[in-house]
Amino acid sequence: MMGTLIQDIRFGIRMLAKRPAFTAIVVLVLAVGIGANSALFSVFKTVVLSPLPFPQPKQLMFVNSTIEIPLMDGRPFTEHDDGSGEPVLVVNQAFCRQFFPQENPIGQQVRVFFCGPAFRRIVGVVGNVRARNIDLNQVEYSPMMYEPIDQTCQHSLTTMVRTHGDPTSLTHALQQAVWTLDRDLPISQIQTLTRTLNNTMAIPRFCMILLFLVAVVALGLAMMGLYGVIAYAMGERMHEIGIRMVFGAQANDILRLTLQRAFVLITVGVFTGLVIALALGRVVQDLLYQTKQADPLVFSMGVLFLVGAGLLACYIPARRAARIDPMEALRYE
Amino acid sequence: MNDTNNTLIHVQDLQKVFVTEEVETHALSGVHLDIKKGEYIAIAGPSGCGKSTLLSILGLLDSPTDGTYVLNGTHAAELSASQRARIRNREVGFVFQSFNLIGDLTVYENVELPLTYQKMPKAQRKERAHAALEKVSMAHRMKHYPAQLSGGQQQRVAVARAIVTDPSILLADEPTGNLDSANGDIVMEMLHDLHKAGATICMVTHDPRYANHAQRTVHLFDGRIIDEKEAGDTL
Ligand SMILES: Nc1ncnc2c1ncn2[C@@H]1O[C@H](COP(=O)(O)OP(=O)(O)OP(=O)(O)O)[C@@H](O)[C@H]1O
Ligand SMILES: [Mg+2]
Repeated sequence: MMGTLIQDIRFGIRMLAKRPAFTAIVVLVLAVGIGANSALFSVFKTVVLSPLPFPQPKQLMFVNSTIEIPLMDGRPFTEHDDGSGEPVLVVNQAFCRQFFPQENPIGQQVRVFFCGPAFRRIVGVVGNVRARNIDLNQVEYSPMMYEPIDQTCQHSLTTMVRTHGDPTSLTHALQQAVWTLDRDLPISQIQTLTRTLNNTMAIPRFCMILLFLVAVVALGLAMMGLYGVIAYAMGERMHEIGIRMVFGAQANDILRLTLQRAFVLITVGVFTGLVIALALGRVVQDLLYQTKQADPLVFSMGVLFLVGAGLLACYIPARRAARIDPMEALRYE
Repeated sequence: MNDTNNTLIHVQDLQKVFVTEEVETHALSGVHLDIKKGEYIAIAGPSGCGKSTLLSILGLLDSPTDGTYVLNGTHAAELSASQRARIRNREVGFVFQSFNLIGDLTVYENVELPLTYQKMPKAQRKERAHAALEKVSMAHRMKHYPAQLSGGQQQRVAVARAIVTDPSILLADEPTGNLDSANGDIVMEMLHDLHKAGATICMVTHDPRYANHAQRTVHLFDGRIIDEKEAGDTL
């Protein structure tokens, strides 16, 4: 049994070697298929498997608050950092890397050009977060400075409130809370974090959906191509199948032989296609957020799916070939 | 029919009708034929008289529309497709006019092919295939591909493939049809030797010269046997 398998595989490879043009077409079709597949699974993974494309979604902050941002060095703001205290700053790691690559930033005095005191002392360093929006192509974090609320002279302020239960039910209470400070304060917008996130994600999502559709179409074409190529190959092998039947091949033998050949073809095609797809893949992957080039999970999903789909595409003509009448098969030339 | 033990093939009132696009072709209309074990029989007749059709029915490649066919005591009509394949594999050896070797297989692999469908162990397959190739003097070309051989050589390989399973009957459909007379003679000589060694052979041929090799010649015309001749060339 194992012997025949090896012999069949050897035979399959020999057959491919003798038909370079045919093999090239198959490999190309499979390459397109793999490309489409990995794009598809990249999107799948990004959208479905990791709901938010962030390593630690908890660190998402939209306001100048350090509550959830991990403190890396120094100290956080305290209640003493008020209007009468020394003007202080907390900066992020990107800031340190850019402005204090060698020195310890804690205790350094920096001159700032926004309103309020010009010189401020750095008292703490916090981790990087995506503060303003989720630019899916943004790999680098930008330098950030945080100032205490009592030392700011910004004209507008965003305040984040952590709630239990439905945040929208608190809208009224929040308005009241602000207005107890000052009745004349205008409140421009009250929005849930989910909503804000969705807004920032809208365009990338759209890109992904578009890419998804393109990938589905490409995959469909690849499958059709594979089916066509296999069906064609099967037609070419009909005479041979007839000869094998004359000399005693059972329907199962023919089915096994054809599927094994298809498997060899698909395997060779997939591995060659993989190389091409890796090269082409860069283009596709650039469009996607945090899908590393050649993400092994994504690629193996794509390959497995394609092998399965390919074998399925072969199964139909293979079954037909296995059931053909030997006389009819022999008449093929 | 008296000596049933010695009868390999029994055909009675065999009919074969091909229906294509509402045209009915009566390829065989009432053929009676018995072939004894060890017999060498030739089937002759003009083109289109049904020789190949008869041979493919005898070889279980095709089924008759009507009539009885008994091969080695087994009624062909009662066989499933899988049983037919098994009998083709073990009991029947085919030689075609157009050789019908598989181009992607070497000479050795072509000859070995029927044995692989018997799930025979490799060592035994090798031994049998070698012996068959020796018999047709083609052992030295074992690693060649069919395309690298002359027509005569290809047909010799095809004969080796047909006899490698040691079948009950060898069916040859114009085995010399694509060969020049020198190569044709070699192949006929081989069949003759096989017969002498005990093989049962049923051969279709146009050539009256080759028909004389057989012990008996059956003349087909329009799907019927019109004449049977004993050659007197008995062992
Ligand atoms: N598959 C088929 N479909 C329809 N008609 C067929 C088929 N096979 C054979 N025939 C017809 O049956 C008749 C007998 O054909 P067959 O091939 O048996 O002739 P033959 O005696 O072998 O001829 P030749 O000497 O030319 O090989 C012919 O009229 C042929 O057209
Ligand atoms: Mg014929």
